Order: sequence, then C-alpha cells, then structure tokens
Amino acid sequence: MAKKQFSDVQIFIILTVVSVASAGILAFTYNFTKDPIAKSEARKKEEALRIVLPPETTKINSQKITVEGEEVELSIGEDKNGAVLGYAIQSITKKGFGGEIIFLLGLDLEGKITTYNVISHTETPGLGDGINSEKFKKQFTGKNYENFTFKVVKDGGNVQAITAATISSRAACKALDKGLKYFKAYKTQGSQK
Amino acid sequence: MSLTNELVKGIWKQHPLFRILLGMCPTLATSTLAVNAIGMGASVIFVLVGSNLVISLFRNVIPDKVRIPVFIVIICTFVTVVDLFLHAYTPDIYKALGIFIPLIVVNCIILGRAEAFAQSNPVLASVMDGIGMGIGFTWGMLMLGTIREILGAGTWMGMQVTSPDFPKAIVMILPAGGFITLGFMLAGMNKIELMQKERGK
Repeated sequence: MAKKQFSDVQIFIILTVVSVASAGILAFTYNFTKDPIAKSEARKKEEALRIVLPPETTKINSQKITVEGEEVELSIGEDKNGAVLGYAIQSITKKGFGGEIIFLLGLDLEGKITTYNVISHTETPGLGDGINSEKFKKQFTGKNYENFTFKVVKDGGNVQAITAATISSRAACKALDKGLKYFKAYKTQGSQK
Repeated sequence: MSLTNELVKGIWKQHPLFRILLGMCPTLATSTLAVNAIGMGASVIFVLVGSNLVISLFRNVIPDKVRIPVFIVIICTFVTVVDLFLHAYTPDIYKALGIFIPLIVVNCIILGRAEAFAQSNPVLASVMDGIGMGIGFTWGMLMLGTIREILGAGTWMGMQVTSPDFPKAIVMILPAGGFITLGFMLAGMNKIELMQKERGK
C-alpha cells in the first residue's frame, strides 16, 4: 500500500484536528439534543408512574422524602377534585443478578401493593427478567407486611421464586420490602407533622 | 472487484461472525433472544456504514502511525451522536435499541472493517462492505438467537412456539449456551464449505 508519509508535526496536527472536530461535533449534538432528551425522559417517567397509579389519576404530585438518610421519590396520584387515589414509590436494589434494579411500586391508600413496574434492570433475558412478568407480579397484589412475608419460599417467606432465577426473585422481594418500609416511614413522618 | 462482490462477501464468504470471528463479545451476550438480533443488527449496520464512509473519505489524510486512535475517535463520535439523536427524537426506538448502542463501540467488527477495508478502499466500496457485513452480522445473530431462545426459553420472538411442558434447557440462554451454539454453527459452516469445495473438484 503506497501510503503517504507524514512528519511528526503533521501527525500532531492531524490528531489535534480530529480530536477537536470530534469534541466539537459531540458538544454541538449534546446541546442540540439536550432539551428533547429531557422532555422524552420526563414523559417516560410520567408514563411509568401512570402504569402503577390508579387509572382515574389526573394529577401527579412528586416529592422527595428522606428515609434513614436515603432520598426517595414518592408520587401521589390525585383525581380532579384533589382526593388522593394512590401512591407510587421508587425503590432501588443493587442485589440483582446483573446489578441494579429500579422498581416503581404502586400502593393503595392503605399501603397495600397494587402493582409494580421494573423501570430498569440488567437481569438475564428469559430468566431473571421474569420479575417484570404479570405472573410474578400478581402474587404481590394486595399484599403488605400484615399478610405477607417478603421473602422467597426457600428463605421462609411467601414468594414463589422464578425457576432458576432465585437471585432476581430475592432482589425483587428486597426492593418491594424496602418500598413498603419507605412508605411506612412517610406515613409516620406525615402524621407527626 | 465489483461493488456487488463487496456487498455479498460479508453475507457468506467472509461472514463476520462465522468466518472472521469478529465481534464475539456483544454477539454472545445479546443473542439470548431472537428479537435482539433485529435491534443489534440495525444499529450495527447503521454505525458500520457510517464509520466506513467517514474513514474511507479521510483515508488519505490519516497517518498510518496513529490510524487506530483516529479510527476509535471517529467510531466513538459516530456512536455517541447516533445514541443522542435516537434518545432525543425516537424514544421508542431508543427504548428498544438503547442498551445495544454502547455495546457497538466495543464491537470489533466496526474497527475490524475500518482497519481491513475502509482505510484502503474507495467510499462506495466501503459503504457496500459495511452493508454486507452488517447483513451478515444480523442473520448470524438471528440464527444464534433463534436456536438459543427456542431451546432455552421455548419461545421465538417472544411468542410461545413449543408446548408448555417442553423441557427448557436453561443453559442455552446462559453464557455457556452461547458458546455451544456458536461452536455448532461454526462446525456447520465449515462442513458446508468443505462440501462445496469437494463438489467443485
């Protein structure tokens, strides 16, 4: 291959030009897409909240609460008259098979789980991602501390683990348990005020 | 060397997965479900054509000594721009492809084709090479994903295709199953080629 020879100074200049051009393109693209990305993220978040909040919800109030030093986002779904219909609370666990899993729990007025949604996870497709399946979710509907132990059967709880995905199932239990704990703390904090 | 030749070679003769054995890491990681092949394939075709085009365009001003860093900067810029634009304007596609896009940076097919082809060939041929390699990659992924998903999860493209009491071989969707399937695919490709050669004699 008869390639042109370059002197060191030329190489230096070319590398600088390539890097600066690349940085420029990236900076421009970033600025150009920043607002649309923020908008699309906000929309995505609202859609996720709507899945776990009651369908009659017209207004969502989100607030940050602090439970045991952890900052948690709690959203309250209200109907058009301002009456509270349900709550959504985010719970994150790092105990998943693939690392972090973010759950969004839907709670009714009594603090029982209505449903939940896995917002992001890196569990094994076809195995651990079953924590987001209706079949697995169903067993938590209407459950709270009083009538349920948030542990898999193997650990002495009430949760039917997904076959070959015990770690993911355990992580789900942990996250849901944590979500309920947050909610309880929120309720007691609220009544103290 | 015709342009069609550049296109076709990636689909069979120089298949990126089963012949050149490039890009194994993201392949084995994401071929657990057949549907992933579509997402991964589409993003690879897009980035591969783009990076081949740019690198071929500038091939005469990239010094040989520093070509690898230059290629990497170009590829990463390309992938990031694609990532940002998809995220901003096509949230649905981004949702489906989002997890694959960062994986493309580490996909050696892209760098491999820049090094082996685009840096020493004209623009149009490089684009053809990119399309062909991308298609080859996609069908390879689809084959692996299909075998692994059906045997491992009993579904194809998310649909139940086996009877409910079909014994699922969970190992197939774990990493080991990826290697096993890939091994059999390679053996199959070799066998077919051998038979072709013998017939040619």
